Amino acid sequence: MTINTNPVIEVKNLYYSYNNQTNIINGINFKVNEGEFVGLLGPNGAGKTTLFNIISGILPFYKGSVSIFNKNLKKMNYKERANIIGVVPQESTSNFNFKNIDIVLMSRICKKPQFANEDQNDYKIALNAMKLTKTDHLAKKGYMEISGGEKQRVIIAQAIAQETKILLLDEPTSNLDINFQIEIMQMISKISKNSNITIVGIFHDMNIAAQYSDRIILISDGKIFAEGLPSEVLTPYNIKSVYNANVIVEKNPFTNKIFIIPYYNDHCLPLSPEKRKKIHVIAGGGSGSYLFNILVRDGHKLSTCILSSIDTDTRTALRLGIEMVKSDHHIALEEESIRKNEDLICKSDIVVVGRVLFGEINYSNLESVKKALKLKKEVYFIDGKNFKKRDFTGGKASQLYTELLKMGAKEIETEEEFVLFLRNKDISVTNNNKETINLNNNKIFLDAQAIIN
Amino acid sequence: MTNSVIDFSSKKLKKVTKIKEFKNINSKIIYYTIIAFVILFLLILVASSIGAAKVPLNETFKLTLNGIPLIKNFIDISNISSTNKTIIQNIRLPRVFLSVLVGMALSGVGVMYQGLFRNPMADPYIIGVSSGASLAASLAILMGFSKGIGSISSIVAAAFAGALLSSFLVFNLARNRKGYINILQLILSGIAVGALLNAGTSFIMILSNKEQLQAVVFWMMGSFTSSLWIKVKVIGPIIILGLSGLFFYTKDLNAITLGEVRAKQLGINVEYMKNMIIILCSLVVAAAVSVTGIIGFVGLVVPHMLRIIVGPDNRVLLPVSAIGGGIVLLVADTLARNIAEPREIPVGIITALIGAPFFIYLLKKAKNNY
Repeated sequence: MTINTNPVIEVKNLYYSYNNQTNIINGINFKVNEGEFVGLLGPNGAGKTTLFNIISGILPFYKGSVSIFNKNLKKMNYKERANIIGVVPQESTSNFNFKNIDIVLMSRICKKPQFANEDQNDYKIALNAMKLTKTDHLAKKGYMEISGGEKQRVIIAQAIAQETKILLLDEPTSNLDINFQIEIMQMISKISKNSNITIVGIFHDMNIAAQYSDRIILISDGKIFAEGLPSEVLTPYNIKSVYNANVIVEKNPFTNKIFIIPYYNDHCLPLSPEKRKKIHVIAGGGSGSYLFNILVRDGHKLSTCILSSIDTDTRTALRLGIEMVKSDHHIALEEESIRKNEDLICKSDIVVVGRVLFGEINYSNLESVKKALKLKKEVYFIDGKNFKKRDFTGGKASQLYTELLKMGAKEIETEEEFVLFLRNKDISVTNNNKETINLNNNKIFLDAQAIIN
Repeated sequence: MTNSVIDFSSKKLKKVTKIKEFKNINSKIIYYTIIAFVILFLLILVASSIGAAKVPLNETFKLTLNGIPLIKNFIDISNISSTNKTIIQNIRLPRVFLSVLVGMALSGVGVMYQGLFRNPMADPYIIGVSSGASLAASLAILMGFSKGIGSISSIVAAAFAGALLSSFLVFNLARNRKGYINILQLILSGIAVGALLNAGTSFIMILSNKEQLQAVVFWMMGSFTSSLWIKVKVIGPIIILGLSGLFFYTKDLNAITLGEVRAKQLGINVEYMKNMIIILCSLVVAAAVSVTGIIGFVGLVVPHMLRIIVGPDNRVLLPVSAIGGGIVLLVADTLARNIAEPREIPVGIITALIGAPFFIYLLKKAKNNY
């Protein structure tokens, strides 16, 4: 983030509705500093383009305040505003075959008095802008004769030729091939840094947003859902909550920036917020990866126990943005790790133990379950019937397991059943032992099949 | 190996474009306008010498040039017979000028509406001007108002008022509470109001007797018979001033090609511009339609044709199309009064007869050029 904290765009308590009934923009507050590159993300219909249209003066009848360089937007006239804010729209079509140079020159209208036409200087600026977007060879061609990607680059050149201090980009690279996506974004990023131009960009490609943005604002249902550094905002949990997309987040080894990979197993909606739980998963040795995956998919917020840094489950947990206690040493020996693990248990609603093989190394994870039961947390063991087969402590773990069952821990046959159990769980009757899972219920069985597939 | 291929292609692709290659817009406007104007001037001389009464060519030239203030002093018309003088100066010249003015009005407004509606199919009558004028004119014919206001006939005055009223109605129907005009609503309101007013006109035609019916039909076909200087003097300033006013908005109108939203982003006061263009256009069309009735296709075909020659830039297209429309209607009217001598054909029939096939030809030929 830039050190300069002079707000260029300041939005306060912004509300907007198209039909006076539902608010498209529902109370938004944010600031953008000079020279900053802010990525505006959110699902379709979240209100991103509406927000842009308000800031660029297309929709003047909003509630709240928008200031540009400390000046009220409503008090600016068209020309004044166009001299400060430039916009790159999603796409622009023309019904008449203007030459591309003439299209670019249209952004010079706001620089001139009403009756003055463009001069040599304007041509020079327009051509330079076209050189930046690699469209100068198209200058004499008609706008209707070029491809969609070329049109987008011509419009970007048009916005650059407008020479504004603020540039709003509405999916500037949606029509571009991968080469131009990178080239255009790098060019925009470069002119932003060189000329101290403030940029706010709407992106659907989270990786482009993460790569170039100093800051990300994530919008959902007309409100700001999260705001901060790309790595803080673009977490699998946030993305699942806002987009209902299953992703894993990794670090790009070349740029040290995060990148997001969607994965496509069956697509299901996250549960309603009141059904989503904070679940602490006892995992290890690869036993948790599948459980993580299917729980995250339903929108639950997960944490996990102490895991060795070389464990497969550690890798999965990091990619899915699951909070965990990482240990580089012998797990059982670390007092601090145990304490951290217990903290995570305290914060959770439910503790679930996967098909973990328990040995001396991870025995403390099982011990922590005892703590959970003392805190009156619900505890479930996946495939508890076969617990003995996974006991490599010489009976110590099995003994503890029996004790835990007595204290109120419950057994559940498979991971899928646990997921379905959470889905169908009626919150009003959660706190006693009478819950049983009807395994013979055909519907649940079919649902379970669907999850497995 | 691969490198050399890349270098080769990039050299070929990167044709450096230089500023000098682009024509200055101001000189382009002047260049095309002067060419169009010279053609118009020559055609005025020719058209005024063609007609039923045979007037020698040199006499026509002299009489026509005599009308121009500065050149007047150098032209000697003393030895021309007074009959010829009357034919040229009081019958043909007002008619020539009237047809030129109306042609200018129709295709000038055609350019503006096509640009504003982002649709090359828009014509000057699109927002219901013609139906308002027709209703009012036929009402005036039915009522048999013979006396006019001053020396303008009542039909002309009624048609002008009707045209303005109907476009005012459509204009207001398309405006929302915030004063913004929705173009789609404007077109649809134009269609609705047009249908309503046309029904009124049809009803009046049923009520009228044979003579009145003929007069109404003849008026609606459009014609320049009974052209008088007074008509030129009244509608001339409206059309010329209206078109000059419209010229100031042509630069902003160019940006509308990318859509109203984009034009606003580029700093154009779109709502104000729309209001001004529609008001000025309505005035200009009302003036044209009031003196000649409805003349189709000029406002549609001429801007099309010229867009292919001069390009879509409205700053060039408006003056060139206006003059071009004057030329086309002048030629059409000269044909109308001469091909079926001594009978006269309504000029609207000529423009449609020539315009429609030509329009189809243009559509087939230049699919991507508008």
